[in-house]
This record gives sequence, structure tokens and C-alpha cells, in this order.
Amino acid sequence: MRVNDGWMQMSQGFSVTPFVLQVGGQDVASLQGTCQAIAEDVAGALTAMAGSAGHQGLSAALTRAAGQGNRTFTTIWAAYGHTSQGLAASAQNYLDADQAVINNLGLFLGDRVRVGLQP
Amino acid sequence: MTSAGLTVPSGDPAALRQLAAQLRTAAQGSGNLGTNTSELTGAITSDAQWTGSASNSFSSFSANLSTGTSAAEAPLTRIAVAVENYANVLDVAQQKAQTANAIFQAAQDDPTGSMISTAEQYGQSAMDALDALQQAGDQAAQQVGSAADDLQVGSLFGAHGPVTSWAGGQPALGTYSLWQPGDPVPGQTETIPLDDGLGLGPESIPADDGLGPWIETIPADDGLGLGTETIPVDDGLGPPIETIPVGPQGPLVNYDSDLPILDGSGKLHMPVREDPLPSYVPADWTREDLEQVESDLKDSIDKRQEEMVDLGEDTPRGPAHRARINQEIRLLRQVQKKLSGS
Repeated sequence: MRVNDGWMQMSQGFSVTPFVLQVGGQDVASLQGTCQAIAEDVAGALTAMAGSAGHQGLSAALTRAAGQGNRTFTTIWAAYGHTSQGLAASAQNYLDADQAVINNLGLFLGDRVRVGLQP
Repeated sequence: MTSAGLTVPSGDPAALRQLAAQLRTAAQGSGNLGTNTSELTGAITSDAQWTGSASNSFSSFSANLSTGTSAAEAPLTRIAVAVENYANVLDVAQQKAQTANAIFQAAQDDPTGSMISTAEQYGQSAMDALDALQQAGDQAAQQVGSAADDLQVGSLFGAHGPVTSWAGGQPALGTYSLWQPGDPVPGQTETIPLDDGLGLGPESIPADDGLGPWIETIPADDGLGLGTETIPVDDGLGPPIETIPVGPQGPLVNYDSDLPILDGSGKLHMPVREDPLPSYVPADWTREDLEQVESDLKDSIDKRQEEMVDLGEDTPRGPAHRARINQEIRLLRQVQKKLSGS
């Protein structure tokens, strides 16, 4: 069943407005870009610190931290991409399922008209 | 940098402070990103009036993502603080070492010796600052190492959190603990080389030979060193040892320079091929020579008679060939006459 704002009550007992998910996926993609900028700043600062410390142990620790920061923020960046793509894919799935229901309903009404019944 | 006595410690405190400020800003950005993520994903679920199991999974994952991203702010800030503290100690140590060196130099140049005590005081103060610097560096290294541990994915998102579990199952991400700087970022195209079947170990990649990609058979080293070689055409006999067959037995050749000799085709000629046959038997020919020439003449005449048949009497070369046969017949008769003793 559909209402005028695109909200759907699906037959499996859950509801959703796919267009909101589509826009939300784009918003999360924007956050992914912010994450990438932060990751670059973190890795760049830590690596430069290691070169300016002048203390062997501290330089080594900063180099290790730079590597760890790079790994972590790359994972976070990928997780944002996963979230964004998941929202877009979910929205499309819901829209496809809704279209299939409409198509089936049209066939059903057409059959009733053909045999002389009220739609 | 050594002056009068103390080594001025290396390092750039001003740059360290600037970089620490940059890291603080990035850390705050991570905190804000987590907050914004929480607000946005909550709004998405709410505005979409999204319910059901998929909505629950999304909310769980995005909540973990926002929490972990915010949590990165703390260890990053701790690193910035540790580096700022070290930079301050480094700044003091460098200044004290430079001052002590300058005073030490001045004391050396002062003939009265009145500055020696002052130089010793500054020197001791600088030594203390250098010791403090070493301790500050060690302490900062420990703090940075601890913060780096807290920056791990498993620490930020929980060892069994949705994000950690998802990351561990991503082929492109692999095991995040083995993910090294410079590795491909997820989403980038990575070209995986084919297994060369040589197993693990260092390989020497040869320079491009310009022949393009193809299977090549590299010959074994022939021990002749580098250089241009002329490779003979394959005789189809296969490698490597060949037995050269003995050629067919040719006619015997008389290499005596005075006697006519058979050539490779079995025809008689004088040692100088253009010389005519003798019109008479030379006096110095021995009996053995006569017998040899007789035999050779017979063979040569037979050979030339065969060729005469193939060549034909009426061809352009026919008359000359016939004349040659007649010469040899005439010489044969003379030789036979000589052998008979007549």
C-alpha cells in the first residue's frame, strides 16, 4: 500500500520511504568525503612529526601511529562507503518491489474487467 | 651540531607545535564527524519511517560507525598533547645548549678566567635539560604508542562490533591488522599478478627484452660469455651431441703435381685445371704413375661418355665435350702402349 509521500507499508510488515533513503545515501557519501580529508590530515601530521621529532624512540612511535591511523581511517572511510551504498541499494530494492506489486495488481484488475466484474 | 662542548639536540620544536595543532584539528574533526553521522543516520531512519530488520541492521551499523569515529578523537588528541609537551622540552634544551656553548666559548676567550664559573653553571644546566629531553622523548614515545594502540579498529569499534566484523569480512580490506600504509584503498582497482609457479622467495625480474609477452625458451649458458653469437639454423637433429656421418667414398685423387688428377665429379684434369692434357706420355712418369693415370683415364672417359649422352652431341657444348673425350682416349692409348713396353 502506498500513500502520497512515498511511504510504503510492505506486505512483510515493515514500512519505508525509499526516496528518503536515496537522499540519505548521498548525504552519507558526503560524510565519507569529510572522513577522507581527516584521514589525510592525520596521516600527514603524524608522518611529518616523526621527521621533526629528533628523538629516535619518539620518531618510531609516531611512524607506527601514522600507519595505524592510516589503517583505521581507511576502514572508517570504507565503512561510510558501505553505508552510503547500502542505503541506495535498499531504496532501489524497495522501489523495485513496489513496482512489481503495481504490475501484478494491474493484471488482476484487467482480468476482472475482461470477465465483466467491477474492478 | 657541536660547538664548544655540548651537542645541540636535533628536532624542530616549532614545526612539532604546528603539526600538533593540525592533529588536534583533525581529531576534533573526527569527533564532529561521528556526531554528524549519528544525527544524520537517525534522521534518515526517522524521516523514512523505516522499520523492520533491515532498518535495525542499518541503525546498529551506523550507530557503531558514529561512536567509533568519535572515539578516534581521544587518542589523536593524546598524541598531539604528548608531542606538544616534548616540543616544549626540546625548545628549552636547544636554547640551553646553545647558550652554554656560547658562554663556554666566551670563557675560553677571556684571559682573566672570570667566566669559567658561569660557564660551568650554564653547562650543568644545559646537561640537565638534555637529560630531561631524553626522558621527555621516551615518555612521549610511550604515550604515542599507547594512543596508537587505542586507535586500532578493534579498540574504537569494539572487537565484535558491527563495523569490525564487517571490515574483517571484506576481501578488499582483509585483516585490518595486516593492512599496511601504501596498500590499496578500498574502492581502488588493484591488479593482482598471476602466480608464476616459482613459489615464495626473492626473484630477479629481467629487463624487458623488447620481444613482447610470450613464452620464451632461454638457452642454457654456453660458457662463452657475453657477445654477439651467430646461432646456426636448427638441423632438426635435436640437442646436443651429434654424430657427423661419414660422407660417401669419392674417387681416389692423385695429388702428384705432375700427373693429371680426378676431380670430385670423377673427371680427369691437370693439376692446374686450365692446362691441357699432355699430347704424349712424359718421360718422368713411372710405371706406377702410368697405371694410376690409366685407371683414372678410364674412369674419366666413362664419366664424360655418360655426360655426353645427357648433354647431346648437337648442343653448344657438345663438340667441345667430344673433343675432350677424344683427347683422353688418345692419352689412354699412349699410356697403355707405354705400359705394354712397345
